[in-house]
Amino acid sequence: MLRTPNSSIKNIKVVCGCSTIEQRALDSFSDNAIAFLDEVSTVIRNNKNLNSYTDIKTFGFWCRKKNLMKIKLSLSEACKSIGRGIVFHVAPSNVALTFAYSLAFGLLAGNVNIVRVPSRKFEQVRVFLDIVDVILRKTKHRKIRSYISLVQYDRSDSISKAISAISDARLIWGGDATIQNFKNYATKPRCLDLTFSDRYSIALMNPSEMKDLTDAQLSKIVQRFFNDAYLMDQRGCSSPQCVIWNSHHWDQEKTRFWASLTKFVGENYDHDISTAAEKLFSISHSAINSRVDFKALRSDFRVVRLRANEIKNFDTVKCEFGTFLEASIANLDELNEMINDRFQTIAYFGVSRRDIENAIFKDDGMGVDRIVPIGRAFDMGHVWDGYNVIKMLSRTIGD
Amino acid sequence: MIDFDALLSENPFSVSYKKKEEWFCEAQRNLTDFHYDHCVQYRNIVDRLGFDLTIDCKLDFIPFIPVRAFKENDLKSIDDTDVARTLTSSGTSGQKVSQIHLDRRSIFLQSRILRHIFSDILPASSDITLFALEKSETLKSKNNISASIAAIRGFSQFAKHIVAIIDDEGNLNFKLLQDFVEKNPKQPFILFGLTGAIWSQLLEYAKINCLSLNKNNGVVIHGGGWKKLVSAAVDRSVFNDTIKQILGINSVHNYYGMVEQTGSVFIECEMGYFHPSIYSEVFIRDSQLRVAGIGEAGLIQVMSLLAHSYPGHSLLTDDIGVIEGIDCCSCGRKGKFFSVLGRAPGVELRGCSDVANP
Repeated sequence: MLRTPNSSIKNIKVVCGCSTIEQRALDSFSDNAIAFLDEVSTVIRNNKNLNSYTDIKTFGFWCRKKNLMKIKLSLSEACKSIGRGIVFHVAPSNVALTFAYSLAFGLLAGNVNIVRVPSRKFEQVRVFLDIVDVILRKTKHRKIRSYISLVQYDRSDSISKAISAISDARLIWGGDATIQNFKNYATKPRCLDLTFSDRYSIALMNPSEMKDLTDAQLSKIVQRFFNDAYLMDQRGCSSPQCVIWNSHHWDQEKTRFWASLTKFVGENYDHDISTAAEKLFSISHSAINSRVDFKALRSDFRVVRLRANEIKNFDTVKCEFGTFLEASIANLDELNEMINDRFQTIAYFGVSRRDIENAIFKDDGMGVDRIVPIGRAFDMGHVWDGYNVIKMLSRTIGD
Repeated sequence: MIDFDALLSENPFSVSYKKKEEWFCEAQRNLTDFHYDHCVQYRNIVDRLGFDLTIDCKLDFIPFIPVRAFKENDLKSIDDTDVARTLTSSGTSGQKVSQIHLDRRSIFLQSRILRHIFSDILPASSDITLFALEKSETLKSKNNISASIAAIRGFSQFAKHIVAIIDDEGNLNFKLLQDFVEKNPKQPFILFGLTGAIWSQLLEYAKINCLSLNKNNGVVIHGGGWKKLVSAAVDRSVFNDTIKQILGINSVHNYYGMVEQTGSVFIECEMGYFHPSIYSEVFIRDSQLRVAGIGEAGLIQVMSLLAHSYPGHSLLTDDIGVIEGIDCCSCGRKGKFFSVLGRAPGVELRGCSDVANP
């Protein structure tokens, strides 16, 4: 049960933190919030048993005090800023740790946080909750504990509605369908919604830069690409759906990249027969309905290349489980033929970030919220989908 | 053109795989070319998935498309005006169903060939009664009929009477069977139904009510999968033994088939293995869609010569199976023989985008 200023909400389980919600706020980057997150960081970093959970490790590294102070500095203004009040976080149900970042953003901004934790049985979620629970029971964190309610509940309109009604801000992860659902609930007039919708992401690579790489060096690039693409079966919004080469030449290098990837995938990806069935269905569906004319190269079904001559409409083709639309362009300006407001991440190799920015934001650039080196597609940060989340979750006191 | 008259005069299970491969491949190839020319969606799949039609014909090179493609798309190779009947898959509520469009010739061929295939296990008598574990209103429905109803219709040419043994309220009328066996103790008959329904609606009902039949010359034909029975720990031998005890029937045959390939079903032999007939073929594919070896489990690919009005002559199913051997089944039937292990478990979806999620 969760007690709120208006009512008591039943059939909801508070899995960690406080079960009574009050509307209040802390200063942004309060000592309490930073001390709590830094302790979470310390516990995670010192626990060798967690090494197999790269996502927990990454979070632990991100929320160390030094990094938080760096973020604070980058956001510091002359004006005071303070939390907005109650923030409702609706985390995606298929990604384990997004909720942890969402919570951290809300805390650092100074808010009371109701976080819906994925109910799917993620090992990482259980481990993370255990860590946080122990820390929050300490007396020194009593104050910050009253700002944290991590909850789980079965799909329920009435619960989501009740929490939405008392929220001063909502972070709605989980894509278009979930967002549409939550937009139907009444909220306070001043409630601010940050919505994270379905997005499209790409990999942009320079084959000529691969020419002089040793096999070992290439394999490092391949591993980074693998992490971006395969760790979430390409179903994460930041996973590259396609590979764009910035040159029509260097065919040998392109072939070498795919061969190296195929080898790596063979050793590191569980491509079972259910995956094969799902993947064939997905590609067939695209083949029947797509506006992109592609031809599949699938000598190894774990890495399927859908080669096309034009990059137009690429984002209308859903690629998953190791399926990549692939095309070459003569210069970066051509990217504008494909980019629209659904574009989130460009993960690049061998191209300069500045050149990409110059090409795609030259005219009236709509789209692309992140430009990161290959291997960093999933690196979560307080700037996401074009929002400076911590800043937006706080009130700036004007003068 | 496939010479169905010639095929119909052969024994449907007497051709060795080696003898069959060449002409079957050519027939598959002709079907591929036909659908490539007449169904633009099929052409898109063949072209875009990188199937090569220029190379020499080998049976396992024939393009295959996922069965589920029929659930998401309306695929056919005939004009709308030539559609004489549309079959739909059973699919539980909320799921999308396949729509399979047949022209007159396909309907005619399907039922003749179904009869030919089953002649192998059914008595030659022309005076057979078929008891269907269905309601009579279901049997009468005109359009959008399911695969099992289509099969029952197919049997109608050699079954003199078709009797629905579920009444309009959904209750089993066991007395119809009892009366028949009492009056005609030696007379052959067919009992046809879904595997799960035969167990739960017929056998369990009879057990609870202490009903049974004397030993008789009936044949049970059932299909549709064991999914519901697995949780009840009922396997083939329990199922068949129970039928023997309660219904007095020795001859029990499972069949493997789907609405997307109605007519060319696979029948279970006395040893418990499924056999393709001269009208069908099977491959097992591994997680990379390569042909799996004998004894290696993988996705079942089914081929049929009867898919003329829609591009369903070579399909990759979501079922897992295993080839048990070729030309060497102790039942004496030639060709490949295989087992069906169940439905592929599916993938656990990851990613940021949920399904609608209040």
